[in-house]
Amino acid sequence: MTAPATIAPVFENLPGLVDVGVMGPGGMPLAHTTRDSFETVVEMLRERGFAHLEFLTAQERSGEEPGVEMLYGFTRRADLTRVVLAVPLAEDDLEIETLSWLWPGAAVLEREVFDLFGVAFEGHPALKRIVLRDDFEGHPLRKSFELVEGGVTAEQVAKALESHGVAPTSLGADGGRQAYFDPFEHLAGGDPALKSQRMVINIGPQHPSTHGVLHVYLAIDGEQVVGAEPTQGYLHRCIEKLCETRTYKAMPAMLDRCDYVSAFHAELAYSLAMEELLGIESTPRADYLRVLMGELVRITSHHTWFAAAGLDTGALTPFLFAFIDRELILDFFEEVTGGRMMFNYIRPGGVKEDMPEGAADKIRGFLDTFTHRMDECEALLTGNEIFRLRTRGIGFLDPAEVEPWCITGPVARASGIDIDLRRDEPYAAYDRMKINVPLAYSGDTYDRYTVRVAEMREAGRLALEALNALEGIEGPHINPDVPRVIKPEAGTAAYGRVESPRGELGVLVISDGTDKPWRLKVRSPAMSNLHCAPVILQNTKVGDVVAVLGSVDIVMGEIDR
Amino acid sequence: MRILQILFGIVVLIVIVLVNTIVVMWVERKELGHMQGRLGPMRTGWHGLMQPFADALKLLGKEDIIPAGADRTIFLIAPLIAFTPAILVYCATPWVEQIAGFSFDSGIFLVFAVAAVFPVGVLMAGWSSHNKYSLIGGFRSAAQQISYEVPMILAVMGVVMLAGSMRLGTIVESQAGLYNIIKQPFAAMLFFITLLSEINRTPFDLPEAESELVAGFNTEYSSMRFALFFVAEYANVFTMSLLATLLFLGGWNGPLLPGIVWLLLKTYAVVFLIIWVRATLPRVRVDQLMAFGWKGLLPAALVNVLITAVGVVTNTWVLVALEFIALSIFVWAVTRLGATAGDKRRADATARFAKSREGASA
Amino acid sequence: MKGMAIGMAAVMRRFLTPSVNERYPDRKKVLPPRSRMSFELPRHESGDVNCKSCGLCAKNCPDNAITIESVKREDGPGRVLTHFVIDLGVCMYCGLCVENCPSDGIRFTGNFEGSTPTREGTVLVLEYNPQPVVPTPQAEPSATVSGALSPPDLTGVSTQESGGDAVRQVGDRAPDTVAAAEAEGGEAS
Repeated sequence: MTAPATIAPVFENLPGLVDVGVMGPGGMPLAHTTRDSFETVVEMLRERGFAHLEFLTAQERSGEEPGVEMLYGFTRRADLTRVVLAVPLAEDDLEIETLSWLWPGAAVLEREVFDLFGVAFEGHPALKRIVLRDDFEGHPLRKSFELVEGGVTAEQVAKALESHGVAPTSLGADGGRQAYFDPFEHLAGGDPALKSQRMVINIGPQHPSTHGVLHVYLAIDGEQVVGAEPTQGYLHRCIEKLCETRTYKAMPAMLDRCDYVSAFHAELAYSLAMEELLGIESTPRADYLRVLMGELVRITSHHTWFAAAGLDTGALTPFLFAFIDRELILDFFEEVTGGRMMFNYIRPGGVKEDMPEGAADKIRGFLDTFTHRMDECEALLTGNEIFRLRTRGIGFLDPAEVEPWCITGPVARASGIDIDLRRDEPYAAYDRMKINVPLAYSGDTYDRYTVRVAEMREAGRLALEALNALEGIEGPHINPDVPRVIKPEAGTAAYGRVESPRGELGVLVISDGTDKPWRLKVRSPAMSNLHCAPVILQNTKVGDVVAVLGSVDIVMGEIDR
Repeated sequence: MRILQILFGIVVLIVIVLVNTIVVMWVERKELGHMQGRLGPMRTGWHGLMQPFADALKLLGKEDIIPAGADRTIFLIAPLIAFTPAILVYCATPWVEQIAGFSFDSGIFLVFAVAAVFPVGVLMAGWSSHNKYSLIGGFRSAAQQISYEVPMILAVMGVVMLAGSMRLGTIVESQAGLYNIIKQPFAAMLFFITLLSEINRTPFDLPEAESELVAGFNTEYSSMRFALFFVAEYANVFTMSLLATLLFLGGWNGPLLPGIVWLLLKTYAVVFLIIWVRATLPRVRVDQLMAFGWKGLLPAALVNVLITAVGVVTNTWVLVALEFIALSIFVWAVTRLGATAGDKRRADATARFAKSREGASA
Repeated sequence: MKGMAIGMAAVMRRFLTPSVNERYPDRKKVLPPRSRMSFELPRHESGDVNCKSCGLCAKNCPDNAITIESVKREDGPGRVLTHFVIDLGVCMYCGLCVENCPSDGIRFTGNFEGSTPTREGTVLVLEYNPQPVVPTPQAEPSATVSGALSPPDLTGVSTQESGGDAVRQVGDRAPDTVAAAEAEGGEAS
């Protein structure tokens, strides 16, 4: 397979490219390079405008040679060209140069690859496990990884016990936490004039307001934040690994569990990828049903965030106001899909079933009053003096930091970066709709609030538009050409991406010709957004930390997967 | 005989305080529930009326945990020190004209003096718990209560000047014609704001700000010791509402109904308002709280004293007019404070970011 | 204080409107027909289950939560269902079993009263006939009935085949027992 002609200039004169082709029937250009020329290629691609690191992951090499293949997805925002760079690594030399000096946000993605594949990154500032325990042995996403009972070998148990009883040596020089985040390094500072001393406090994972099980090391000097490092992994459920053992049909149900507050979007991203792989299209009616459900779930997801935004600043009632409205939408989901949060509804080729009789009228009834309901919710926060004092001018995110930290979604839009996949790269029925993208320009906590609230209203409008369009569209809800047993061609891959409430959510499916994916990677927008915490927490106070972090909309299920 | 009388008085006092505390707890849960579209407790008794008792029983049955590393003695007595003033305050509080613990001339002085002991208990609890959150909560609480006591007492000064006495009974009697809330609306507003801070209620509930400090100073407390803090807080809510009623709402003055009924009605109206505020407002940040207390409320309270002095030497209507003007300016200033919050930093950032966006696109 | 006043007005409006609580045990909500709650095996008028014991539900179950056993019918073609057990402790209510059933053999019910104090309580036994209607001479008691409770078998996680090959014939000799894969005890880590 060769790359489309339009892509040719992208790869022109790049040294060290082994071959250029496409990933699958979707035509995503794929270039192989070697480890030696990798750095040069990336730098030159970056100069050519591919500044958005879409995903950074790896897959087990399926050919004769054992090893791991690194996969880098780059996007050029200007014309939305996407390329994938593949770098094969031999089994005995799993090492590659880090990208974290070009994209600080890549550091955390590289840690994930290190954790799950065992690839070492040369020059990485802090290479350590991210989702698994520090003393875990083995790299679960390798095919050679043998899962034993409970995931722990007898030796590991013995070792853990030993480390409890004897000395904390088992963490080793770079296995332990100290190597990455040394609390005493921060403690060394302080204001000499005030004779102050720095203190490290752990916020989470059992703190009442850390959005699930987020854990942040916070170095503070008095009330001033001087350093922050979010830790994840407390909600890791190995979804990517589990997906490799399930059939393609079971995948939407698995992916629902990733981002549990907006499950439709993960399903949709997967379905788009699969449609690309299988060369099928969804039906017009399914397109609009997808938009309707996607926008309704966007509202519920933002409701959850709104509730948390209130709680983070200490207001109790916005939580209940938002959840009362959210419950009403969940009732519609239950009526249409059967599930309130885990839908298993959108699938390759269409949706599971059409709306039942009468559901459209109920949804319309709700959407007609939605503006009023939003006004009631907003009355509690938007104009409130204390809320404004708490959020305005706090937690700035410089738009120059957006691309290096791989930030997408409302967080980027609040800094004035005008990106929205629904408009830029329409999927489902978005190409037939007009989408207004709310923007704000100062990038503080309050702007992220206003952008999301505007997005909720816009989502309500889009849902109503989709509902109206559905009236005029007859036809099947699923493409009858979808094969009964899904077995994409071996060696093909596709990447589906959607605008989830948190940003660009992508699902990369790599097939090996069986009825189970060889590798399934979920690009988690919230993960990249969360790890910019050191940037947005600059010059904030302890009291702001939760409010600022809450404004990036953290869903730990999606971050850990 | 005298000792028996005193003992009887003490028992009556404690019963009155506890009964009202329990009612305040119930009102809070029900009101908050309905304001949030919920029902609140419904299972224990009629509309959950027995819920506070159930809570108390539950807490009694819990294990009393003393954390390792805690300063044991201080940890154990801190709840008592926090709880005692909540009851002691009632010594000087008149209920109706005839019933009062001690009706003595510096009653209001005693009330504030005794109430000021509460932060000591909180500070002890925070210090002794061997927990960063508790410690920060305790410090915040002490700092906050000391800062807000000053404007609070200054706001009450106006009332004292009008009545010409610090005896609470005399202050109530002086409001027989016109309530102080009409004569001193500005002082009433200042008093209400400082009151919220004194009893650690939203928007000034920083000592127990759960989004930052888990549960603040009482994070490590369990069982009955936690219950004592809990009761002390609700007792304080009732105390301060009662004080607000006596000082600004005319106490037991009122037509038709007996004085005690009026007093309780007005007190629970204030309790309702306090909970209503809690249901609505977010929490201020600790530095904003301090800035507001020292830079906003303290000068405002001084202005109020000045206005009252002018009113005392001229006549009541001049006083009312001046007070309303001051109140309007205060409300306008706070509104403006919120409307323009962070404007400068936001404008700077917008300008800076516009440049970096251009740089990114170029 | 304008913003605060607006907020307080909104809260007061909510205070004066009836609450949205559904008083659950007193009044039970009627769930929409598509709700994915507990399971049932629909029956013919004669009392036989619709289920043809084809095992497609167990095969499609992503969590291997379904255990089916059946014996061959002696008086005609097809099979007689003896055991149908779903471990709701691992079930994720995705509905793939219901969706893939060719004979309307399994359905969702609106019954959401699934709380139980023990782990054993999460195992839903929909059909259990220790003595099959038409016993075959060599039938031997199968151990897979309690598969949901047996120690976790995680082979489905680590190997490629066993997940898809969930329905396997237990012994070719006579009993023709179709045993679905045992439940996964829990995905480790």
